[in-house]
Amino acid sequence: MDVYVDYFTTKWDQYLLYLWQHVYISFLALLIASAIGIPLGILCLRNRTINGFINTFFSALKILPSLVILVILIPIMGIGVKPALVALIVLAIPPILIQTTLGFNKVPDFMMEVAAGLGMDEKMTFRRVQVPFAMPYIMGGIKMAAAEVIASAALAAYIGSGGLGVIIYNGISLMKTEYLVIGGLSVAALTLICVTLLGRIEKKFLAKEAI
Amino acid sequence: MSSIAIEFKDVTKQFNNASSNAVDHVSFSVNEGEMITILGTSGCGKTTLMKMVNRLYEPTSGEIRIFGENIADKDPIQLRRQIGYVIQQVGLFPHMTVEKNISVVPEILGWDQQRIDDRVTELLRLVNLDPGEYRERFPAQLSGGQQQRVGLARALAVYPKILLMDEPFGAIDAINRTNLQNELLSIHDEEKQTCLFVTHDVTEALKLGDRVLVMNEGRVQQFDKPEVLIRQPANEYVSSLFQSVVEGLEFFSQK
Repeated sequence: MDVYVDYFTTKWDQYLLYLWQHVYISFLALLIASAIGIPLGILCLRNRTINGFINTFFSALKILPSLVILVILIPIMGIGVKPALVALIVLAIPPILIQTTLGFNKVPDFMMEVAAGLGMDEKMTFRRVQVPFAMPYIMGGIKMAAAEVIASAALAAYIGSGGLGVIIYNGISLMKTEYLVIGGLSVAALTLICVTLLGRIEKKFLAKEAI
Repeated sequence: MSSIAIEFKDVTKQFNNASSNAVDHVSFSVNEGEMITILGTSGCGKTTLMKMVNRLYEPTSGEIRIFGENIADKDPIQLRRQIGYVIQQVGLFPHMTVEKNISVVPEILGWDQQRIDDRVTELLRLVNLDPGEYRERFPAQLSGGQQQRVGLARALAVYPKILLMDEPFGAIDAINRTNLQNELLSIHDEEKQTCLFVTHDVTEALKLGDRVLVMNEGRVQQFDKPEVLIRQPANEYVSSLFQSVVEGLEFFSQK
């Protein structure tokens, strides 16, 4: 037990830095992935050719394990925060994109017809009917992406992105079990907390829609 | 002499991949303030016929006039805002409260908040829902009958002169349906909208309609007052459609 107390008393500042780096890169990756994934998901709805192309591309990408994506990027982008961020964004896009398309497809035909019948134009229908309807699905997609990104961000430490993964890699090279335990549990705890928080937001949207 | 509210002139609708016409050379006219029920089995073209009035469908040929104006010349979105529309699935927006649902069209038209609030109160009373109790509820917190009452209130929000209803009470239990039918009749007595009411229920068509338009295979079979349809059916199809009602009446008169 002493080794754990020892770690947190002597290396607390360093721990906080790794935690901050981890949260920062994950949050940034999710933000950018949402900014790309949600519009792409909407684009998929409007155009069948684009839909086929994008879906195949990202489904294929989903098969690749996160570690492979990280390693593939080394010869292209080198090491550091940037390639790690790119890898995490690539990982986060598919669930967000797929759930966005799904959410918009879930708007029943009769709902669209009523919107038209009441005299809503395309813009109003989108903003006042389709978006609110799709929101819980999109939030669900972001939640799935978050779980994936936070876990993979630990692997990204391997290419020099920093974060809680560094503690784990140090543990491996120094053969210190306590580092592995601290690093591993911290990543798990962070994932759980984020997923729970996002789940709460998702439920808020869902509660009203239970028909 | 009342004026003509809706006029179909030789209207045909053929869907892209269909071999026969969904609506086949239909002509008729509806007087202002009349409640017309459109009766027929599923697939007879009755819903298609109705959806051409607010241009959710465009006719393949022919002309539809509302108060003398050809609707093909009007902006469909503006046109729809002036026509109330109610469907069987109700289609209340689940993320909006009852109040917000009813306010949709008034808000689009830019009414001020006070006027919208007053109108919502008035409409909820009209459809027999206590405004204090129901205003802030979400659709999921209402029964099927209550949802359709809100659907009706929403359709009536901006005093439409024409009301289109597509089997609005089709999914509602018998007792609630009877109540809603009676309420619709009393609302119609008061406000005198011109109504097209699509149904496959013979009794409902006879009860609600000032006149009943019987359709089969895209054509109008007969368009007349309920008692005329029963006493002088125009053809075999119409007489077989009302057979059950006639038999029911005879059964009770013998008792």
